[in-house]
Formats: sequence, C-alpha cells, structure tokens
Amino acid sequence: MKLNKPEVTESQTVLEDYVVSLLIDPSEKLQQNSQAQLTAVAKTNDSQDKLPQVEAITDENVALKQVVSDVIPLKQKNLSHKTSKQNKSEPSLKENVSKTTPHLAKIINVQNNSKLQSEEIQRKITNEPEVDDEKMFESKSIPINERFNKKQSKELQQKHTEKINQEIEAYEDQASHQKNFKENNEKDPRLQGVEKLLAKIALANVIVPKETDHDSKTTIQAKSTVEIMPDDLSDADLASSQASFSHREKQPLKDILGSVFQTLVFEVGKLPLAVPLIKLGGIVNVSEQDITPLVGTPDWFMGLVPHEKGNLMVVDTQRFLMPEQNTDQQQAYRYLIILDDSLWALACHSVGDAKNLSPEDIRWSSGSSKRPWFAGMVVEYMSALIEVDRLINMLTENIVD
Amino acid sequence: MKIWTIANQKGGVGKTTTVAALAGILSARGYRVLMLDCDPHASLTAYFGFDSEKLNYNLFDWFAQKPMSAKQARNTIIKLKNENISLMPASLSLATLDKKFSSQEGMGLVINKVLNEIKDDYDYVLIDCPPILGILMINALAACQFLLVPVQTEFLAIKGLERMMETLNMVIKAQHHTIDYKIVPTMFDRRTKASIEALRNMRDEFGGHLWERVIPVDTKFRDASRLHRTPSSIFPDTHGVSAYHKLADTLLAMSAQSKVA
Repeated sequence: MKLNKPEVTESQTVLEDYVVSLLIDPSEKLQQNSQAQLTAVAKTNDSQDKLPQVEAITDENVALKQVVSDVIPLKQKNLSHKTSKQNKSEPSLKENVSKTTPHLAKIINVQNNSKLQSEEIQRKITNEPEVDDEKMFESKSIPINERFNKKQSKELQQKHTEKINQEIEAYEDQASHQKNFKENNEKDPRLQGVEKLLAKIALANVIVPKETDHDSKTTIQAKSTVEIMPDDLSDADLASSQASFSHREKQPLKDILGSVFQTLVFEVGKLPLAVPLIKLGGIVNVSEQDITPLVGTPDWFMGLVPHEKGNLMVVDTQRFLMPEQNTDQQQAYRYLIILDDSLWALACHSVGDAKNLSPEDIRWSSGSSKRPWFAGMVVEYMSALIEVDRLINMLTENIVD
Repeated sequence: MKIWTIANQKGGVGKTTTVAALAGILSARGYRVLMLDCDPHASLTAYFGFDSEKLNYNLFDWFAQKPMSAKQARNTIIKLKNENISLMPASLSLATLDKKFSSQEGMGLVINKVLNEIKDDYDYVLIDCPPILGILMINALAACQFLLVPVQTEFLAIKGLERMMETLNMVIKAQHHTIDYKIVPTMFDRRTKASIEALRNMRDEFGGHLWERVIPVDTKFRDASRLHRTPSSIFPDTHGVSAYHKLADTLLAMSAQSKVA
C-alpha cells in the first residue's frame, strides 16, 4: 500500500503560514532590525578606539606647533645666516623630533624636501653648481638674480610654513571634534544604552530587559505608558463591552463546528455542561471572595472579577440556567468559564477534560424557545452543549432589563 | 541536553506510554531525565498520579511568564518521589493557548527557550505531544533534536501518520533544518492479521525511518500506569519493557552518532 500524497489546499497554505509565524524568533527579527544601530555603534567604538591616537596626535600637534614655531624662524635664519653651530644643532633636533613625534618628523621632512626643491630650482636658474650653505654665507657679494631667487625661495618657504600651520590647525580641529564626540558619547546616556542593548543582542539569544539597565527601563516605561494610554484603554474597553453587549447573530453551533471539534466539559451542581473550545474565552480559578457584588443587579448576577480582559461579569450559572432548582445548599463555585470574546463568565464547580467530538456525537436541539442556550446533548457524556452566542444574547438582554 | 519529542496526530497510539517507559529506562541507566507533558488532557501528568488542576504550576506558566528564568523554570518542575525523574505537568488551560497566543510571532519557540535556560540540569528531555496540530506541537517539534512517532499497527493509524509527516515537513521548512525521526510500531499483536499487514505496509512506505522492531501489546503497561510507576521500574521483565529497552538502545546509539557527527 502506498500512501497518497495529498494536494496542497488553501487550508494547508494557511497552516504553513501559521507554523512559520510561530517559529519566527522575535529576538532574531529585532537583531536584524538593529543591524543599522549595530553598525552605528561599531563606528562609535572605532572612533573610541582611535581616540587615544587622536589625543596623542593632539599632544603631538601642540609639540609640533611649539617646535615649528621654534624651528621655522631658525630655518629662515639659516637660509641667510646659517652658522655651522646652528647647522649642527638642526640634525639633533630632527632626531629628537623623529623619536618623540613621528608625525612632526614627517612634516619637517616635507618642509626640508620643499626647501631642497626650491634650492634646486634656484640652481637651475643660475646654472650654478651645488654650493654649501656655509660657502654661500662666506661669499661677500650676492648677484641680483641670486637675491631674487632667494626671495622667491623665502616666499615658497613661508607658503609651506602657512600650509603646515593650516595642517596643524586642521589636526587640532579634528582632534578637538573627536574629543568632544568622545566626551558627548560618554555623557549621553542614550548612546550608552544603545551600546548595552546591542551588546546584549550580540551575546544572547533571548533579549532579557534588565531593570538596572537605564535604557531598558526607559523602554519598559515607554511600553507601559503605551499600554495605559487612555485612548488604547478606551478602545479595549469598547471592544470588550461591544463583544459583551452587542447582539450576536444567531449562527447555530451546528453550522460553525467542523467535522471534528474539541469541547470542554464542566459541571454546575450535578449538571454537566459543554462548551466548544472555539467559543471558550478562558478558564479562571476563582473563590467567591474574589467576586465583587454589585447592588441593583439580578440575583443570578454574582458580580465582577478583575481579569486581564477587563472586569468579568460572573453569572451564577445554576440560578440563570436552572432557576427552578433549589440553590440554597449550593457549593461554592471554583472556576469561571469565559464565553468567547465577551466578559461574561459562567461560574462552575469543576472542570473536566476537553473531548474530541464530531457533530454526530451530538443530539442537536430542535430550537426550543424555553432554553435557547441549549444547542444539544453530548450523548457520550450526557452533557448539555451550550449555544454560546445565544447565551450571551440572553445574558445581555436580561442584565439590560 | 538531548530533546526527544514523542508525537503523532492520532490519539491512543502509545505516546504517553512510550514517554513513561523510555524515561524509566534512561533514568535506570543513570541519565537525568525530564518529561514534559504538552497535552492539555494531561495524560502523562495523570499517569504519575497528579491532578493537574491542583498543582501550583504547569506548562501554561512557561507561556504566560515570558521570559522565564532558569530559577523560575526549575520551580515549575516536579521531582517524582519514587523515580529519579522530573516532570513538567500539563493542565487543561493549555487548551486555550492557540486562542490566546496564536497571533503572537515566535510562540512556537517558547519551550525551546525555557529548556535552553535549564540545559545543564538534564541529560534527556522527553516531550509528550498532544494529538492536535497547534502551538504545543509546534513548540515540541521546534525544540527537539529527534522525533519519535509511535504508530499503532493498524490501517487507520498509518493513514494518520500522513498528517504527522506533513506537520513535520512544515516545521522543517520553517526552521530551515531537518529533524531526524523514527517511526515506532506499537501495540503490535502478532496473533492478528491486521497487525502483520499494517507492519508490512509501514515497511513499504517508510523503510529506513521505521524502527526495525516493534513494541508488543502488553497489559502490564496499563497496570504500570494504574500504579503511577514507569513500566521498567515495576515490571522490568515483561516483553513490553524489553522492547522499550531495545528502542532505548537504538536511540542512544543514534544520539551518540549524531554527537560524533
């Protein structure tokens, strides 16, 4: 025997979508959404890593500015009046600079190279052989074109000095900007929160908001604020009260239930009742002390019980469904059976199992006007199946009266 | 921690008995075992003598309290008195899970996440699945590394297996990783033609995924459940327990292989 492969039906597609939605990990989704934030924080971290370097650069720049201010006049002086002593002192200064501040040494090298270039230009113009500064100094007369070239060289030198100063200022601006950014970063709690949050996302599979986390706290507060916003609350109330009090269309259970459905069996006194799970809003464990009675309500209305959906309106099931029975020696109710999406809840004494049933298992009611809530009898368990929508309509009509 | 799910969308095929029997055998072999009752009917919880409605905690708390810490999860688990086994009980309130949480994304991963919190506490977790496709079954399939499908050796049970395989494929498709599974013929009665014929059909259809042996019909399983004990602890020498020992051998060998791989 080979099992036949069933065709893919619409219900199967819906089912597949449902399974997929159940298996979507919200933390993974959040992780994907936070990818941009992660990148942003990675950049922040990068700049933080670079900050010590920036600080070093800033320090170097201060030293550079100091040294350059010392060196440049010296070098300008050297161009015209360089002594051998000064000439000897320059390499040692260079060495010190290159040891302490490599960036500075680089800049000075650029400066020296430009000096050499200008001298080379000068030589090319005058067609003179390369001469030592010392020899130049020793020469008594300086030709006019040479003086002109020296002037040109001096201008070039000044331009380079200005350029270096500009570079130093640019460095200082950049450094101070980054330092400010770092300070702001340290001061701004939002960025700290984002980092912590992202660190959590990166490390943990499940995001657990910690109360100590400032940012998480903010998020939780924000969430709870959203939850208790008057508009939302009124919407929820409106929805619940609409579900509880609006008149429902009399669509018999027989027409709604599928070929196999589950039914919860519960007991009120000695009467077993049954409600299909598709019409079951929930089960609440309750004691009579939890029920707040209301003045001026019918005797079958026991009162209100606070619940996440709103205040459940508790029905003394025995009084309402079986008013002919004596309720004097009635046991205390232990459970509430919430009807569908309404706030109506039937009090009951015990809750049994959920049973798998098919429509054939029910002896359907012909629609008696005496008990409109009675959909039929579950033959196997001898329990009365409740026509939930009709019962809600009955309760609404009676409470309004 | 290894998680094995025992599931079939047909009821009465021996899921709860398989969980109880394997838990007893694994425990006797020195493993720390947790049984997870995912069935709103709470058959496994009742098997070990608990009234699910009278317990302080049940599996519903795992879904209601999110995220659940390891400490909170440990508080909800019961340690059995007579056996070195732990039980996470079920309750009827689980029947309302689909209605309450079906619109929330990620509800199929709740059990997986909670078990991950307590992964160092147990060597093996055995999940008893409900016979209905819903949040609980998806959770059980999403959490497990290995699926065991007990199938009663009769024609209708094999037809029911089709639905189980479809569900498994849906989960595999959604999770993008495969789940290894074994089909275990249960309640095999060699005296009946129907059992023999059904077993032959299963071999034709499922070949490599079918466990080569069978779990025989054994009235001692029922007796063990009445005494709220695992079959291996109270009737160690019966045919049924012997068959479950062989099943445990196969599963442990497969588990060891997958660890090596």
